[in-house]
Amino acid sequence: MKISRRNLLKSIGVSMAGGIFINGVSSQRVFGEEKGISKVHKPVLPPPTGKRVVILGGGYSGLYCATTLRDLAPEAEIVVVEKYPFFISGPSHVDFVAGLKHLDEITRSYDPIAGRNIRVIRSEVIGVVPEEKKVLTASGNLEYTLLLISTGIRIADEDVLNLIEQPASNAHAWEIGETVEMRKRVEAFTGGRFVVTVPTAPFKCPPGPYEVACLLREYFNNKKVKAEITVVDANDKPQPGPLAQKWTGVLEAREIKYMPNSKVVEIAAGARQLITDKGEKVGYDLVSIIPPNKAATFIRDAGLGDPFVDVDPATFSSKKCDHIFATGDCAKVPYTKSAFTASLQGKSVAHHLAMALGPLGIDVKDPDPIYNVCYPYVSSEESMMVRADWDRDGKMLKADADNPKKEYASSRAAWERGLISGLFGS
Amino acid sequence: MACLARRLSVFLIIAGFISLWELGRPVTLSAAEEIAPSPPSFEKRVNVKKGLVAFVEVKAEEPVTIYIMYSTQYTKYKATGSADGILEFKNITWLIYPIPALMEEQTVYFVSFVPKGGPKREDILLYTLYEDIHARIDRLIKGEEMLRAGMEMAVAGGTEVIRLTPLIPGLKVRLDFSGDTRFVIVKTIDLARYRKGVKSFEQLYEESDLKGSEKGINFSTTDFEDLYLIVRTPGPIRVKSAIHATKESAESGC
Ligand SMILES: Cc1cc2nc3c(=O)[nH]c(=O)nc-3n(C[C@H](O)[C@H](O)[C@H](O)COP(=O)(O)OP(=O)(O)OC[C@H]3O[C@@H](n4cnc5c(N)ncnc54)[C@H](O)[C@@H]3O)c2cc1C
Repeated sequence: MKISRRNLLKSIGVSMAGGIFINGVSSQRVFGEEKGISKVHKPVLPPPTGKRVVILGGGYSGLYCATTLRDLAPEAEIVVVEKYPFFISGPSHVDFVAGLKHLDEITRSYDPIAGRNIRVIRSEVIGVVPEEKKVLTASGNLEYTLLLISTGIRIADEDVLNLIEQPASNAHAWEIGETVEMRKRVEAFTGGRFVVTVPTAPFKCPPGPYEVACLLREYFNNKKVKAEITVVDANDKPQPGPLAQKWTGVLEAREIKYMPNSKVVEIAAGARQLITDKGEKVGYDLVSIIPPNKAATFIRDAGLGDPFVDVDPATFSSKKCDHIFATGDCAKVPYTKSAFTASLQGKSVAHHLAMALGPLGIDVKDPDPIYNVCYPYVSSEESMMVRADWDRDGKMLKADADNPKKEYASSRAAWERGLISGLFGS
Repeated sequence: MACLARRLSVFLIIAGFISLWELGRPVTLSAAEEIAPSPPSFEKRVNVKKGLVAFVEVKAEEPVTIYIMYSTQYTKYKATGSADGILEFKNITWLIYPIPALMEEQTVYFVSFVPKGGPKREDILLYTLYEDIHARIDRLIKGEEMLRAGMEMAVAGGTEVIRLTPLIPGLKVRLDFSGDTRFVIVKTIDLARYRKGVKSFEQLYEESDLKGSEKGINFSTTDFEDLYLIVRTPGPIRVKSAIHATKESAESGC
């Protein structure tokens, strides 16, 4: 289904405003009087009559789990709780910011998922009460037999001084609303200093910040906009590890200044300056701070882990609670925080959930180990390639990387189309 | 030299490492080309083959400043003297730092800066020990605890901020102070607040769980974020840190 870009953005705007309100109100009440609230909230659905698997988050990981589990456990009730009305593919955020794609191309309705006998409920999760096997959402309570948390990452703006008080001072491609704003700012940029900052690993899409810097170098050059681009990195080298030396060369060749070991801790928007942990000041005219990535606060508040859900990397089951599982960006696993591993983790955990549901009459085998393939852009026409393989227990076995090539840019497009069509059919 | 070796052995026996560290041979650092206007500096290039981790140990009789640089940073530093983004350890008498090369070969330069009247080249010893990363991870997963990084630093007195890096969840950190001191360990955001004057040392001390006024502390890391140790001491002391990897840290994926 195609939707108009205007309607999409309108609906995102509405939903985000709702989200902020819900967070503001609920975080105090839910965790102050957790049990009380869980009683007064009305149920979203009646209690399960059979086995119910609730999946929090309808991103790559949650949806691949839901669709795989549908085949493995035909009798189980599967419910996905998602705060946004549409699915928007993460990898193309960079394409959008650089003007290579419209959001319409990577946005899908959840209808095809619902059409596979998977209930998709649009609501925001505000808490989990493991002792009661209950999820608290903005629309009411939800009971479960097994729970999968796959809510991705939360951008921890509070870890950069002044960012919460002055949210308009920043824009980045790591959340959908921010991505739309960043594109507007990039289009309006008439020249000067553009600064991208990188948080401490692990964060969502490790090559992403460097891709943004490279694509915008090309975009500004094409528009004849004079830009001095700097990447301020909290890590000691560009991410991910296998691409570190290649990125260093790529950035140098594009005259992008690279500052490792420099963690941005403050923005002084009035003075247009970033301040690093060493006290260094970096001036900017256009800035894209990617704040630290953490899991949703309800995870920490439910005692399931901080900053990510503590899980066994082989089965994805919580180390704190055996009826809870977590996959993708929100889980503390050795796998790259990427759409590709999130999808494989989703498929893999579906097997473990099916086994945990009990005898199904279907032969559920141990799933395949996780690996990652990614094609980071160095320009609109060329991408690099990186692949990493882990064993079943999450131990990294090998990693390979290759230099920029045109064919990898086409592989990238096909790769993302494949991931999307695996869920939505087109 | 013999004394140094003995001290090292004692430390390594404590860390359960003696068999490995005996393999390391000390090298004398070569004198670096002068870059105006800097104090004398000595340097060593460390090359780590794919699949290995190099543990580099630097020992100096008197405090030195150590820079750890990747090749491109080194080239730039040589050309311009710029230390932008370079990892710096100040007032160091002992340092163990891991250089992992899980994915690709790594070349790293250790450059020691010596203050006027400070130690001579032959007083600064550098040992390198190479280990197989996978074998090490296997041992961690089996439950062994292994030294990952450490340093000893001279604090002249007053207030000093020391970065504890690089951290991942599940590491065991041991800090020792050669004299009584008040200290608090904070996250980066609180360091920023402290530097800005938004929070005082006393406020941070009040709020933090990791603090004390004794000769040491043991704790485990829960996060990927670096931590900062703020020490307050009336006179000169030495601060020593030893960071051990555990099964949990091996599973956290960084
Ligand atoms: C700029 C950029 C470039 C990227 N490039 C690549 C790439 O080239 N290759 C690659 O493999 N990956 C890439 N990624 C990363 C990829 O998008 C993510 O790693 C992947 O989407 C993670 O999947 P997930 O299911 O764990 O989380 P997500 O896809 O983030 O899904 C989480 C879902 O949970 C929902 N949610 C969150 N909180 C709540 C709540 N409280 N209540 C209800 N719902 C909630 C969210 O709305 C979302 O739909 C990129 C990401 C970005 C931002």
